[in-house]
Amino acid sequence: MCMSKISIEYNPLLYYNEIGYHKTYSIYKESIIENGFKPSCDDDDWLGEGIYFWDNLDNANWWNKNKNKGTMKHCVFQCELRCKANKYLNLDDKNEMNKFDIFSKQYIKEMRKLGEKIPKFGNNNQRKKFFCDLYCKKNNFEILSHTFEHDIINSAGFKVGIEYKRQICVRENSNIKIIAVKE
Amino acid sequence: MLFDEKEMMELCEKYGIPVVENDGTVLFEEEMTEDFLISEIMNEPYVSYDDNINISSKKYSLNIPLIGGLNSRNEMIDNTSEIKYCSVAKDKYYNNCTSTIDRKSKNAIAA
Repeated sequence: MCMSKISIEYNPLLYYNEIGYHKTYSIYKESIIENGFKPSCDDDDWLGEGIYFWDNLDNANWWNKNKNKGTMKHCVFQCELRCKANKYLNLDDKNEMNKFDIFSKQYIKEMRKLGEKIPKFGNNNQRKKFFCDLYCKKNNFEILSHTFEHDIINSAGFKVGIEYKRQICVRENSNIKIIAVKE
Repeated sequence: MLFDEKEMMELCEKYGIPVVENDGTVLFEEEMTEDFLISEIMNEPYVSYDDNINISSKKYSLNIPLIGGLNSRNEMIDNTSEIKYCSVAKDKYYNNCTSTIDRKSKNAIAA
């Protein structure tokens, strides 16, 4: 299957719909085609548990490009991501992020008042994952996205800039339709 | 109610987040703020503000800079809305005792 530019027809008032790109090892390709994707909750899954996509092929190819060089082959899945419009959370929308922030503040307040035990977050990534999972569960969000900053490091190891890359986290396989796979 | 302790414990286990006794320990720097709804402290239905909001209540008598950009400059905050929060950095502003209510907002609404 070749990866080509495709267009989707849908009603944006009723549905969220986007083409996402998921990079993984080629050894998993057949299993994914047959059984679907497996949600992950790794350290760098900053939007909580789910299946992670990039919003374009370049970003997908950029991800982990220096890992396992020359040993493990990669492939990129091109997929249609879809859910009802009210099940999609766009954290690049300032209003949506503000609502999320208010939710998190209220949760912390209640936790302080009612909880015998509380989480001790080691870093902001743990906080992101914790609150993303909570917020999505409470509001039945099925897909969420956010543009993250990534440092540009020069050859001497110094940060010389920032690049912005948008990630999409899909919480269930049922919101994903595989269109093509490229190796 | 948002908080469920069992749900919280399950999430912490999933992400390897340690859990501690709730003894008032500050968990992260931003937690050193106290949030309250504007409607909890204001009598005015609408207030206007620039970068700071001047408020007066039984509990607080402060000049508080708004954190989080609730609204743009010179616009009105609807005090009846439940989603409007102020954040105050703890110990930074509590002793600051300027206390005036912006009466212009009430007159503007009346007009």
